[in-house]
Amino acid sequence: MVHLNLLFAEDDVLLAQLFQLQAQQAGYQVCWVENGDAAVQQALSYQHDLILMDVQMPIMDGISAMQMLRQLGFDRPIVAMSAEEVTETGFDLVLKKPLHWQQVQQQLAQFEVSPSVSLQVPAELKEAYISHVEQSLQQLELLASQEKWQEFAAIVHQFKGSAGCFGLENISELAHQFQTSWNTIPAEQKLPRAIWFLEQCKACKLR
Amino acid sequence: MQAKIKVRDQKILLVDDLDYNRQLLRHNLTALFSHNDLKYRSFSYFQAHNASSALLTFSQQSPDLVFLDIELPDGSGIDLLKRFKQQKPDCFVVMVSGVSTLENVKASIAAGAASFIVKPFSADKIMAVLRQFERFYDKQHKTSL
Repeated sequence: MVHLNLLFAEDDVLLAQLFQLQAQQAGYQVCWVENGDAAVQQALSYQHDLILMDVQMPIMDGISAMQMLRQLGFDRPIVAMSAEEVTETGFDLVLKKPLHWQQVQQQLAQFEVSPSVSLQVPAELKEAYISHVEQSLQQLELLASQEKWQEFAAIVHQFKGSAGCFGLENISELAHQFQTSWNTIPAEQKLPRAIWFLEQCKACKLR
Repeated sequence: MQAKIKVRDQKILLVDDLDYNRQLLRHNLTALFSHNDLKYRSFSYFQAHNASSALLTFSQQSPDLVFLDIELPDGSGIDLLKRFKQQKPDCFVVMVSGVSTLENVKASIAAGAASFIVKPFSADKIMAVLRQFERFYDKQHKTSL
């Protein structure tokens, strides 16, 4: 039996840990986020079959998060979790808090795993993109030697957005790691960081 | 009296500075439109690699559906979105971004975006957008005969 991949948005850490434990033991995959902001960002990855959304959360509450997702055409089930009555439209179901796992599991049974469609990247397009990455890495070496960091960061940013589309998730992940610290590190650490990035990329298997 | 839907070639504009991204998105769209249970089958694709050429193509072609990268070499995708919506308020614009910061999502919605896709492209994300587009297009073009 294939279980749902759940996105669990809840600011109560203990409740989240308990839910994760129970759900994972029952075979569900669970991704936990602490607020509505993170729930929106995570939901837009479309990796989850269903969202369990606490209504009262900091930064962005569950109702605002649900409404934002619906406005963006998010068409997967969103289940509210609340101790209070929820009257807003847009939720597929409301679970009354406190949650009891057996009841939650019974309710989850009515939802199905989202049908997944696979897409192949045409071989010639992937090959053309890999050549582009190889050329870009040479260009990055040149930019690093000249310490042209703005141009360097712009190319890395492009990797982050595009490489994953062509099956080069490793390059995309390295670009993400590079970007998370790049703007905050002091100037003297830019070159070692750039060299680290280039070496890591070169170690990746592209073909 | 039965409601019918006027169907004609859908015009799709792809705006991304990277040629490979546009090619891949076009390939994905074509694959999904032909292999899944979507109503619309006939499309014309137009492409632009920066904001200025996108604006020109938009004015000339008046597309129904736009995939618009949020970061373009000569300007912000969100500013461009506002220009598109001024010219054609019923255009369905999907913002495409490498990162889904809430600021970007909020700004896109405020500027009139219909949807928001975070790269990498996956069939599930694109299908959700296409289903949403069909519902939107049906609603816009439903006429009584």
